[in-house]
Amino acid sequence: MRWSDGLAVTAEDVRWTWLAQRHPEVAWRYAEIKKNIKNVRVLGLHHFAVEYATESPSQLAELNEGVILPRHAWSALPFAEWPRGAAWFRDHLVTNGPFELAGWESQQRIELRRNPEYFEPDRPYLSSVVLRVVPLRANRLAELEAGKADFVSQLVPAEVRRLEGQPGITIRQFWHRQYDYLAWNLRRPQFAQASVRRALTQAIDRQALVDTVWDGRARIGTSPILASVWAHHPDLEPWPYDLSAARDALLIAGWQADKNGVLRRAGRPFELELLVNSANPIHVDSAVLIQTQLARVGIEVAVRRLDFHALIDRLDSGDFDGAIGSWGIDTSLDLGYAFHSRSITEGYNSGAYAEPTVDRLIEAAREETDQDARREILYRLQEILHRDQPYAFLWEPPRFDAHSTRLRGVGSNPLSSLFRLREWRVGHD
Amino acid sequence: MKIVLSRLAGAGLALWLVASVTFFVVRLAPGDPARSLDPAVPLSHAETVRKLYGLDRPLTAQYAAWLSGLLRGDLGWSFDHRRPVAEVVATALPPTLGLAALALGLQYGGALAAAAWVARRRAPLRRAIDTVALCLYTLPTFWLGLLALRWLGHRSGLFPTHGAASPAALGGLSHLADLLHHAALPALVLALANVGLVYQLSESALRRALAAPYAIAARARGLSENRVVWRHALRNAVAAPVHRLGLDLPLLLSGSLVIEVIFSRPGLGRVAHQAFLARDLPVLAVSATAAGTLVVLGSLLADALHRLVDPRVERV
Repeated sequence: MRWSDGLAVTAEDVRWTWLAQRHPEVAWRYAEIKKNIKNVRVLGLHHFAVEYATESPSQLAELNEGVILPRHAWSALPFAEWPRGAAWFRDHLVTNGPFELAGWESQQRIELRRNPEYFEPDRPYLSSVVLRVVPLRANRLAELEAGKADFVSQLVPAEVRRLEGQPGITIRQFWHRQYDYLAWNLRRPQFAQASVRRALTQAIDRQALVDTVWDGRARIGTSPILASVWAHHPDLEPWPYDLSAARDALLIAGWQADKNGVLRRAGRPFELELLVNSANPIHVDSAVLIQTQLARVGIEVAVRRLDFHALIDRLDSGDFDGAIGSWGIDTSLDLGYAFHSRSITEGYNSGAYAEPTVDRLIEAAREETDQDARREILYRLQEILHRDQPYAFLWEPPRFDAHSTRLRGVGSNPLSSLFRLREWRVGHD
Repeated sequence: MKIVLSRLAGAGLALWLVASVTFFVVRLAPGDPARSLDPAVPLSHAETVRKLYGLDRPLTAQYAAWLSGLLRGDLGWSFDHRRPVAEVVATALPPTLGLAALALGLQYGGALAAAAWVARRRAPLRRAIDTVALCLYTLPTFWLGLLALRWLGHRSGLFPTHGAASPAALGGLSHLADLLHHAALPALVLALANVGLVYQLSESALRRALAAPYAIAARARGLSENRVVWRHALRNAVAAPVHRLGLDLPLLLSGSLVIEVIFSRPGLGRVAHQAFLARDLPVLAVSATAAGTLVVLGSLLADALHRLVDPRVERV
């Protein structure tokens, strides 16, 4: 394998990349992932050994995070200058992928051309690729329909409906690595009991939500480990939409309906403010539907649409009742980010869910290297989260990409819409 | 000279106020630019970013550093673009100003020409054109833009639908023609969206001017109606729309954001919008200050032009 300037990619590059990634002055955002790597030793031109501090199931992923950097070209810039070195890197750009940068224009486009030094023979098939920035969604579709673009990613269901059946256009649907949820703030007394949270999940008709906002194309969520992942618990069934069970559970928890049908406990009505990102139309529509659905069991919901940053501020400060959000998961299957009690202050556990067994299982899953044993731990974790419902798991959305039929070999997948771009080609079979 | 100095001092004070208010509004708005929402990124990383960009310092110290940087011509460092703000703005400003200039030319040229033509027509036609102007004025820019893009861009292929220039490097006049081709439709939309008001101002001023004693005297001397309109009446009638010109500058800047998004053009509007979404405070603060500067400059320009076209103002 060679760099685009003709020099070989070596084990020295791999070691130097690791040094750069963990250097404090570089301030790489994913440096934490490398903390378990103690050393990278060069054994030969193309051979190296990696020493880890502890054995873990994520060792390969830890090593693989980031890309190999060109030591010969970039070591001229001191690490301390990297955070402000964008212009320097642009002028000294050296790559080793199937394409190299042919040009770019801010806010407009990135032009790639085939890297003649790429190690796979005859790849990539495409001699050039232009990635264009089209801010208005409607225009992306119009460009595809007019034949001025060949590929458009991340369509919403309404756009899929518009494109379906159009000659010359193929739509790809695949499961993404995302789940959407409604997080409850367990600091609030009305959400402190798991039985109440289960009742809330049962009072939300998630199938109706999926049918309405996803045209029935998403699947109802049961766990933070997606149904397409090896460790997903196959026996967990979504809590059914059951208003009578929800009412019974709420009654046992002390919530009684008044003459107007509003639930009250100790004279106080069951009301909640549901936060939602105003820029996400699917979440906004869902919040309005949930508002109507929870009204059927006597809960008054006020939907609050917030700018994304204002929403995050409210979550960070713990100043919310419920909030709709999404998480994209990675292959580590480390659920600590949102469900470990330490993440209440150091992570993204905004709802302050704290369950010692869950903490122990999350820590055990981080260390267990036997896949079957790890699966059992993750199954147990999912069972507890399913029981406790710190989140109402709403759905796992699909992703839709569309391309012209002249494009072949498109392999969009959860990792990237442009996955294996080197295999894409133009022509007809 | 005294008037000019006093206006400049006023403008300087206004700019300082605009810059300061912008800084505090932007800085105190919800949202932490250092915060990442990737579960793989520890919250402690935000501290590193804050330190890197000086966001860990007291707000007053940040303000003092920012303001002294502004005075020295250092606009700061963009968190999102990862390059100097001056570079970001310098790249984005020319297409926005070019588009605004073309739109202003079309808007004012079109409005004045239409007013001059209509002034000599019968009342029913004047009323019909008044109605058209009013309709244009009430149409939302984004709707007009989408319509123009659909029919004159995607459907007919008469105009480019994306960007400010063709990717292929062109030289000399071909490059200029290419730039104009790309800017024509967005500029036309921007001009059409604003032409109604300027037309109304020009037309009523021109009608008053044509009824004035000097116009009657000119006709009595045997001058043709064309000469009366173009040589005598129009010069007096343009004072009102010209005064409006300065105030239109910032409006065109905000209008260009919509146009830049619809026509996928680069520009300051899109940079500011992206900076808002990413909480790129230095870019946001400079963009807002630039808009404020345009208001102040527009006001100065309006005064200057008013004095130029109407010498009576000097005597006031």
